[in-house]
Amino acid sequence: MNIYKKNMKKNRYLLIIFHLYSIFIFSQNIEIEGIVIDKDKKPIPNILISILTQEKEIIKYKYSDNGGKFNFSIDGAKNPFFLKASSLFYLEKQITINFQEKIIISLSDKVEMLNEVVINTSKINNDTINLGISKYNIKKEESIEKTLKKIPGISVDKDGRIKYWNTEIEKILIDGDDLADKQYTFISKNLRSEVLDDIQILKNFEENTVFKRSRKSDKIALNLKIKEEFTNIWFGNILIGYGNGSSNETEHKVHSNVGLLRKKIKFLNSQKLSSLGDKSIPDFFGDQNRTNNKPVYNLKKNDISLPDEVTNFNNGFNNTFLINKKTKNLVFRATNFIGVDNQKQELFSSTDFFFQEEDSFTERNSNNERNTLFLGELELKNQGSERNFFINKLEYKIGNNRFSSSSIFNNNQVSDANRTREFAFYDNLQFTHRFKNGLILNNEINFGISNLTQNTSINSSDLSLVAQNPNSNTKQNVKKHLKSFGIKSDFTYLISRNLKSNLLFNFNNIEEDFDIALIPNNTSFQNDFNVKRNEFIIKPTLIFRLSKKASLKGNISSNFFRINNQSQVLFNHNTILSLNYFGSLDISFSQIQRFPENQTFLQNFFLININSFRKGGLFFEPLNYSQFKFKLNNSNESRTYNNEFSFEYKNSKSSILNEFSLVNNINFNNTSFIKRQGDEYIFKEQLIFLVNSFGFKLETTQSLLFVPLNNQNTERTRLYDGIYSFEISSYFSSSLNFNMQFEYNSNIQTFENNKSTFDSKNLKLAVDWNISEVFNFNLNTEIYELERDVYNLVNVSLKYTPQDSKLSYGLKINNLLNEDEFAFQQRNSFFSSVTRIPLVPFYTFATIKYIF
Amino acid sequence: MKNYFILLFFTAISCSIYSQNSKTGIIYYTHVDNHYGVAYNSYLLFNQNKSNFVTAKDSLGLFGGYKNTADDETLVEISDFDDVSKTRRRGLQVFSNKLNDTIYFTNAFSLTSRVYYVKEKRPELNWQFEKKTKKIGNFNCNKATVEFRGRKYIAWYTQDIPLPYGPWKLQGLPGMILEAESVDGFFKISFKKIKYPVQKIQVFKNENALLIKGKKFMSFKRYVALQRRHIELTDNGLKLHAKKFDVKIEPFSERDNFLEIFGSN
Repeated sequence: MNIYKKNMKKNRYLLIIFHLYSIFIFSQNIEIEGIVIDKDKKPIPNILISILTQEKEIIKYKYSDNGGKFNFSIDGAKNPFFLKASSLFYLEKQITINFQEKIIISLSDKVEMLNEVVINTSKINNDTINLGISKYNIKKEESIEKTLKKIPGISVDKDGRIKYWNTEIEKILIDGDDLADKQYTFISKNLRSEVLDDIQILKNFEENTVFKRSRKSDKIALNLKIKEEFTNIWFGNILIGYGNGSSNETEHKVHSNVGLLRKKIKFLNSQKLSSLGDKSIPDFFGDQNRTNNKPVYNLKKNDISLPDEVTNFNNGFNNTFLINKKTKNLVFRATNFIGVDNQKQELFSSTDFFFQEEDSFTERNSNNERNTLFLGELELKNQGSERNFFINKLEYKIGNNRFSSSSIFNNNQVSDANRTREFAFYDNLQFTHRFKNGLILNNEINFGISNLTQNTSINSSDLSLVAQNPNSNTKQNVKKHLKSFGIKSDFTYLISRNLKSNLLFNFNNIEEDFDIALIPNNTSFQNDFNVKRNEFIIKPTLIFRLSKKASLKGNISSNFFRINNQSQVLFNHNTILSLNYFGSLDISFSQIQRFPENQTFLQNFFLININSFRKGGLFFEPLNYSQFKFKLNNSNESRTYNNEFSFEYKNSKSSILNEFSLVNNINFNNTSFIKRQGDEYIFKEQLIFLVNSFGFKLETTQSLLFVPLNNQNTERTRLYDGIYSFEISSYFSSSLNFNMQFEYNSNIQTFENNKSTFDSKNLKLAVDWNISEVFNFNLNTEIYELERDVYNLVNVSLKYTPQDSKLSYGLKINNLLNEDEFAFQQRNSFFSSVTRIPLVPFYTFATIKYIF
Repeated sequence: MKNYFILLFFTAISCSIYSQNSKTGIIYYTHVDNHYGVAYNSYLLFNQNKSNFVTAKDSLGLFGGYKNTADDETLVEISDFDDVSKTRRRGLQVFSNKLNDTIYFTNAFSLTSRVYYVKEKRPELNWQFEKKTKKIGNFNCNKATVEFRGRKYIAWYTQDIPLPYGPWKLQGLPGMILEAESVDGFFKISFKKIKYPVQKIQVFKNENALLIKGKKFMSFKRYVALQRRHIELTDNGLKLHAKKFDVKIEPFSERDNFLEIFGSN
């Protein structure tokens, strides 16, 4: 403003012609009209004309029109006093309104300079999506997992693994800090949503700060933003449940969580005790790619896809402690887990050996298993820069598994008892560096040691006969020792804008020592074997963008493999062509050669379960197969339908053959390497379309396998499996929605003139109804038909969450129709079996939850 | 009746010859588009009677240079090997011509969709003035708010620059708008720098400079209809995807995906 005042004083050649053009007073309104002209008397448009009070407050403003004119109609009570004409391009002029004269304002040009800079530091992250959870009817005490299930685009599977659209998330961060790494379900299942301000999806998630700058990752993570008031307080919740049903057993559940979240330290402790069947020890601990020390002897048990509540009963207890501490340059994270699972399972199965007509058997198993696990992970990483990043993970594991089972096998009673102990630790160090020319070097070193011992005792007269044991009690002792060491280096370089390269060197050394013996000693059932595997892999990859609609990715890997002083070079290659014509089209071809796992090299029979022996052989040949895939996906323009068709063909030139034979109620599983051709064809077709408020999905998968059954004959067995499914979902805007699915499965095996078939049908219906803001009702019905028997499973639940209360309540009725058993079928190329399991009869279960 | 005569008289004396000052100024802003989660460099060129706002022409903080393609309709900046950025060669523009009281603008409904060329009568914004003031650089700014096409906006304008212009379609205040945001955070503009006068850059003489070959401006009515159609198609697409990957979805909302909310028919 000061600039204008100064200019006004200088303004000597300014022409002032001041006319009151017209004043009309209608009641209180004063009309003011005028014109603005320049020194050549030409009208000037777009000049700001303001009417001011005596105190220079703006009453009204207008910009002059194309003819330089302006007019105002002003309430006389507002005391218009001054009129001001201003523009960046002309000197400002202010006059006292003289209601008697016409207003003509003449302005002269202004010389003005503006050069102003404001430093703005606002920075925005391109890859963060705020979900805005407040709009999804989030209940205070519900877990984050439950909240996530309500959020569009997110799905949570039975194990609690979370997917955003079709990509599984890497981890869950709390205010940017990692507490649980890949075991993120500890957070999603245990932290309650009340503490959340919002949930963010971090796309292009890359923890490695060197990669973050240059690599687009397709990883996704979730970040939980904690409300201000929870960032420095203790919080937690406790849930108590009690159930009773038509059986006399009572069920209970106690669940408690305590947490502390601060900027520099965060921890979360969760404790759970439950007899409702949910397992305490998750199946997915640790790094999935690592070589695991697997037990040799296993319990015959079945994991089926029914809800935990209606199948076998597991009593579980676990405690998880997660902590994250930050210093200036380092972040320390630790997970400590103790879990105990006590599981009881009853099974009844009948098995038919397809090629031996007289060979079929029935068995009834009753299992007891107690699984104890201590597991810890310590992670140290630097905060990272664009040039350097390191992370070190140390993991330890102490496991103790005991089980006993008693079985009636074709009227013969057998029983076993087993104890498996494992002590292991693994360390993984990763270091990444970016050179000045843009080359990125990524190194990984890992080593691990695992000791596993297994002591088994079996009471079986059949087994004693086979093992030539005068007693009925036979023992098997296993000692397995595993050592691994690996170094991996890879270099990434952008050759040109359309060509990216990567070169990988990987050296792995694995030493596995097997010491398996039957007691009393019998050399034909003894394996004392040491395997040393060394592999050195060189794998160059090129990714080439052919055009906007096409890209080509290819890699070749040469694997210099050495096992117990025998060497071989394996070649693998893979080429993928992706095109965006007729929808999206992917075509790939690959050739894969690999050696089977070490256990297949054991040359003498060893026990793998209560009535089965297995042996392999020292075959030094790689498994060899090639694969061709074709996938076409397209939608119509109005996006009311989507169609995906895929075809896969796999041709194996050599494979591992598992031959089964039943001798004296004992199963002999002979694993051998065969150089016979096997073929596999898989067609998949999926059609989705929308009609009004309904979505429909039609899907079929047809697979056809031709598998050799031995090394001599040319005949192969033909296995056909067809799945047809039809699904309908509602998209009503009301509080009630449903999803219904029908599935039909047909399975046929033929060999020479023999044919064996089975088929099954099932229908699933889920109804979700938000009766009111505080009541929610859920119905889940599953109907299965198998060999003309029908199994009905119905579960209902009702939740009551009063507003502004620290308490909430739930009521569940499981197995409403009191179905007593469930049956399912399984097949491999030598036999098919039907297994029946008893179900937990009708029961109700009530919970009450308190949060603090 | 009297007014009518005055009008006639004035039309006669002005003879449609008006003074034109061709001095040009430029204001650089940061435009935060929370829909795409991106911050753009944007600028407003202005002279006495016209202004041109350009955004999404080059984005902030992206690595590498960019490559232009012949086709203006497509995304052009490639910031990394397999990444597409969120800018276009000519950006997205709002050209405001005070002399014919019309706004000409270009917009695209999604990052990968084509650019539409639209004209509309300059909307009359019903600004509410507040007493609050603040300084942006050395400029004294006043606060004003407005409800415009489904959102509430807060603008900070300075009477030190007495021109009716502002970023995007926000205009008509008794001073240049230096800062503006929608209350819901969907849209945010902040001031970076101003230069006046500038020598080498000029505001387009007329709206046709916005057009590329073979294109002309569509009516605003048609543009609104196209936006509604786009919402319907995207919503269908989401439902299909949700079915494919077994996830839940919410309807594709206009509020979360479009700056201007027209509602359904």
